[in-house]
Amino acid sequence: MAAGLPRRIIKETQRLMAEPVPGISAVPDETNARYFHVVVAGPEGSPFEGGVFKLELFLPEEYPMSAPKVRFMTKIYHPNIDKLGRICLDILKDKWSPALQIRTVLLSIQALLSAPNPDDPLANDVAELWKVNESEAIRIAREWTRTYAMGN
Amino acid sequence: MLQYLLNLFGGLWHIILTMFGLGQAKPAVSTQLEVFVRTNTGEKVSVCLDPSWTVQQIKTTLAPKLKRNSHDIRIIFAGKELPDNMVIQQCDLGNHSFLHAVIVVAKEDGAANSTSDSAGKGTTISHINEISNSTSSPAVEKKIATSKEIEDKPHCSTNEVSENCAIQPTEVRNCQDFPSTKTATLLCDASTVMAIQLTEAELKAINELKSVDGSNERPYFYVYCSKPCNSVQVGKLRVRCALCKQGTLTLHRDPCNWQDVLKEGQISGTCETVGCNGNVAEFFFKCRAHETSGEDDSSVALYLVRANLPAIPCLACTEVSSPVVVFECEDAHVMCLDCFVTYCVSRLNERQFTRNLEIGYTLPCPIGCQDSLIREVHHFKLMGDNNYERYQRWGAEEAVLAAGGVLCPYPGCGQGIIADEDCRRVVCVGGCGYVFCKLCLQGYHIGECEPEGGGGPNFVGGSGTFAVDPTRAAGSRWDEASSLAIRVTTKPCPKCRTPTERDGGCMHMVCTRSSCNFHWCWVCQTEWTRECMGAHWFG
Repeated sequence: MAAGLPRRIIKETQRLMAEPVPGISAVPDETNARYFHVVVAGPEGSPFEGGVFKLELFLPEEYPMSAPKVRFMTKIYHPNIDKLGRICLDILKDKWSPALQIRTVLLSIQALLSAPNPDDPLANDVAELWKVNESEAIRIAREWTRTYAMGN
Repeated sequence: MLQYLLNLFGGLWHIILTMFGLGQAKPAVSTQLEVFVRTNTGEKVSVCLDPSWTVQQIKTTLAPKLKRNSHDIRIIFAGKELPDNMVIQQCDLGNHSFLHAVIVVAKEDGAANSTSDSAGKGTTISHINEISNSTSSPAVEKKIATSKEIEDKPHCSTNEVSENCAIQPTEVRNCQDFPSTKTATLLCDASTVMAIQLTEAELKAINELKSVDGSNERPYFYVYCSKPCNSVQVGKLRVRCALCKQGTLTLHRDPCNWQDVLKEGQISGTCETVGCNGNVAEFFFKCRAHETSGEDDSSVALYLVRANLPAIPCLACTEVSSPVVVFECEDAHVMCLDCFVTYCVSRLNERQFTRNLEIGYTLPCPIGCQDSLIREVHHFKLMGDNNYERYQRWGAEEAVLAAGGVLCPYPGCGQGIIADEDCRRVVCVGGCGYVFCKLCLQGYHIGECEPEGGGGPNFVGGSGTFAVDPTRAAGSRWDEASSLAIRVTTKPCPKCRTPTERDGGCMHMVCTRSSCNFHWCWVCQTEWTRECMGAHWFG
């Protein structure tokens, strides 16, 4: 299975296991070394604090020439994440560069949770509310975190 | 018995060496070289020589053949006059090299047949303008290596140290008879390569590295050898007269950087060919891996490809390898050759090369740094023939489209045509002859364009009888089928009409053609708006 897996992926995986990013765990799937089960802790001070968010990360064949594919599995109320868990993040699209890594991608996603950007939205209704009534949006985000990200 | 024979042979060899005035008999390095000598008056002679000979010995051999006195012969190689006591090995002279001999008619008395004491009157100059393959034995190679390390002269100007030339003197100097009066710094040696390619900081780093692990990497020029090697090879830097294209040129100063070598007219010289007033040096590169096939056998320098002396890991795979591609951005990002190829091919597949007016169809550093476009497009030859052919075709297409032209829509044609601005009827001139409408890219018609899906390509005005080639017909049916499939499964970009397939995701489309990059809505087939986002973003 691991045959044909680029050395870079092996090295990145080893480093992720040996020196994990604080608040993030990324474990490769037992049957597919290009598929990672990711868990991100909601950053302190954000409406997602206390929540545990599951994500999936997949390294396509062209990786690192093309970006990893990342998606939230846990429901989240965030202007840059849509109802299917897709993330609006420039480094996952046109700003991707082969010098970036799984680690940097996960750190960016963590940062996105701390600083939502309603001007570059993916979930239109969420973004709208975030701009019009921020405190209400934050309240809903807290509620969703409690409901969906704290269960188990 | 064998021992006896060997001894006998060794003895004979010694005698031969002594006959040629080679006092210090060296261990038999008997790689005889045959070289061709061409004079500036059109004479051509062949000379057999031994790598251990000195330049003086070549002169002695040449003298009777050219009917000149050996004292009147000067030998010039790669833009430099070689001193008499220089050993051939130091020039890495290969088999079947072409040497150029130039006979300068004496200025004072015009006598060509000068005698031994009339040096300076009638002079014959032999130019070695081209050194072919290094077929030298390992022993010789080793010798060359040492002689390269020995070089302790500054390599910027012939006789004095130039400050803007970053060369660190090396400490060893065991080349017993290296000239002290005339410096013969050859373009082929490692020092020149370093002078041109490396900055002072890099050199310092390398020297420090060497002291640690005795790195055996040496700086080289790299070229793309189209034939016969069809790959990246170590190259050789050569120089000739820009006017007469002969190697009969002595440089006024050495090149210090890539600008000197790649840009025309940077360095002047004196051309010795009779009747040539050339005074500009023209540098070119040859492949070191194959035996030279002639005087016009040259290769393109891949100046971004360098030996990875500072051992920098590839930005993509993080492995350390050599040679590598060093991008021209400020940070000089490094990528290994394999990753470079993957990078180029993946960008090509996504049709994301950038068109630059000055350079053509190219790519920046993969990090996307400013001012990092690859200027020498031959680097893309690394992608292999098929991809390079695709690269060239697409580059040409982009250029045609950018110039306001159209591409012939006839299946398998694709000829670029710059049509009249106000005329809808386009004839594929120089291509397949298809006549089509510039607006809908269907066969030419009178009146309004039909909506998408109406009739396939058909000839207009082809009234005469014609025979149908069955294989062509089959191919055409196949083309019909595929064009139908394209029509059914794709929608054209509203701006540039590139057929686009949506294989998942939302309705927000971005044109795949990098020069277009239009944001459009799959549902509305117009520009992407906030309304689209609100109404049918995900369908």
